[in-house]
Amino acid sequence: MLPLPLPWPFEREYMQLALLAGIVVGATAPLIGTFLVQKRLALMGDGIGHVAFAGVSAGLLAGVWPIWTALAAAVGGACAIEWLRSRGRASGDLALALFFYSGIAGGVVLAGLAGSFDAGTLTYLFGSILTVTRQDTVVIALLGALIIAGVAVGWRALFSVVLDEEAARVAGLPVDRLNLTLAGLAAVTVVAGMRIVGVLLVAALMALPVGAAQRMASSFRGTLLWASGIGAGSALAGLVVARRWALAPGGTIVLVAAAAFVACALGGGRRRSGAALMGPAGAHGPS
Amino acid sequence: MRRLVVGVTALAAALAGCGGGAAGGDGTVTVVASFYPLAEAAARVGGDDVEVTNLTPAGTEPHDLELTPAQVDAVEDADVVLYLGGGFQPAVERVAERRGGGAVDLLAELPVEEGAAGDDEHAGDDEHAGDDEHAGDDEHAGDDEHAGEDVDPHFWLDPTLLAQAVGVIERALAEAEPSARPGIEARAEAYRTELQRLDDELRAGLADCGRRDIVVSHAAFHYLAERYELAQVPIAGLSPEAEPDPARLAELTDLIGDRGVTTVFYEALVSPAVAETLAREAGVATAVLDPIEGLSRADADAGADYGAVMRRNLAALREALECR
Repeated sequence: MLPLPLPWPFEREYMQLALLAGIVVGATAPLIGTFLVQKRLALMGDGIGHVAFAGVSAGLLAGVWPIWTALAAAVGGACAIEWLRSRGRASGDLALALFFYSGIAGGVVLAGLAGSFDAGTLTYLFGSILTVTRQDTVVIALLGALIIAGVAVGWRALFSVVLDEEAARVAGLPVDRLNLTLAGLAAVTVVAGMRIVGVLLVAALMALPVGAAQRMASSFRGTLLWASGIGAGSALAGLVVARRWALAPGGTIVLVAAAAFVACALGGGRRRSGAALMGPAGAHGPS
Repeated sequence: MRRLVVGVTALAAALAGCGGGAAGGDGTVTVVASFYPLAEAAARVGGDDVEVTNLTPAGTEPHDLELTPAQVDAVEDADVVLYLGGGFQPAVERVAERRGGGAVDLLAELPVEEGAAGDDEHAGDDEHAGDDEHAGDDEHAGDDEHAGEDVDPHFWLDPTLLAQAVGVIERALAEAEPSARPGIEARAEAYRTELQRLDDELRAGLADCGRRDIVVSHAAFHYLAERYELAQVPIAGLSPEAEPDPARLAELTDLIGDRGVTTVFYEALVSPAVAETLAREAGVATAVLDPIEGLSRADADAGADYGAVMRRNLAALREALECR
């Protein structure tokens, strides 16, 4: 079946697999990112990524497929960050700092126990989109479907919680469970994106397209859709540029997303950056 | 106050007397080798007169070695330190250079060449184009190891160059323990004879082959290719972490098709993901070509040595290149 007869630069199988994985991650990471940005937790993806790195090192040390250990570490870390934040034990950014640095340091120590940094560790730090196998793509697609399903079902409730947690609680929404669900979905996003741009850059795909989308959209739902589109577009364009100019694909994808952000900030400036704070259907629609 | 000064001085004097394990009264030379081929050669030449420590554990890739405090002590205290300079293992290089003497940089003593300069396909190819992993690598702050790596360090894959290194090691060991010189010289000669026999086998085995291009994971085989008249086509540069960009993968796929290459080679100590992607793309097989930068754990357990692994490499090459 593969390779499909697509035009350059996607005429080869490895590029088609990279494109599929890239588009899935590019489209789904910003969906979660939209909620995190709203909560002023744009760096949460980074924190989870650092914890996931410790999970990867543990997996490599134990001889287990690192995706499982990364997922366990990411979900555990995300929930712990959320727990610390919600209990007021530490402000959001201090909780993040705890996990950021423990995560990376833990990963370094575990890698040291394994003997040294093996080349596999670096590919999880910085991504290896060109060596994505068919099996990897299936896993990424499944994780992506999980994220899309979660957002499609729960976005209004999640939006109410990130907009005004107290009001949501008063309105009877299960706030704690929703926050934990969001944290869990963020962890899944980070692990899915790990193969594409690496744990150190996956947060960029969660935040930058959202920043771009906020300049273009006039409702929260619009932001979600724009962000997803810009993310997927960045993956596509990034791969084209990387192939054309022989550049590292992971970094190129993120730079394209950054360029989109700058372009939207300059061009779409007429929309107030607070536009996303309007209700789910826009200021004039039903709330 | 004076008691404190006297006490601290006495303590300092006592500590200064500790450590610095010199060649003890039993005449054993302590040798620290930075990675496997040097450790093997030192053990073969030194025999019972030496105690060799290999800094790179079995199953680990030497290019990125970071030393534990105990290993730093070992490098500082040993009688002889054998290592490669030129950015191959910068952590070892830094500590070895701090010593006053007794540290031998094998690359400085051998006729080595500029990195991959002789590879016909890649005149002007920047091996470090994909090496951006280290740009943001905060764990290795300051560890710009691959920036200065323009000398190709992989000399040991040519047995005749390894034989020359044996001479260098022989001299260093004899200088450290002159009383052991006769035994050292005899064993060095025996090892050189073995390496010559290996060289003869390789030359005969690779003389008459259907093709001469070898596609390898990283540019470790320049000296091997030079000696036996093969052409090395590396996916990555002098160090194995650099991931290829998509244009390079496409270029290599075309080259494999054009030249009828049958096999993409990968290594025991490095992830085969890139080699497998390329092989799948080009529709060819994969096989192991071991750059012997270290022994895999399986090989170490089975008691395999440099000679055994080189002969295994020869068999893999003969099959891939369709030699008669």
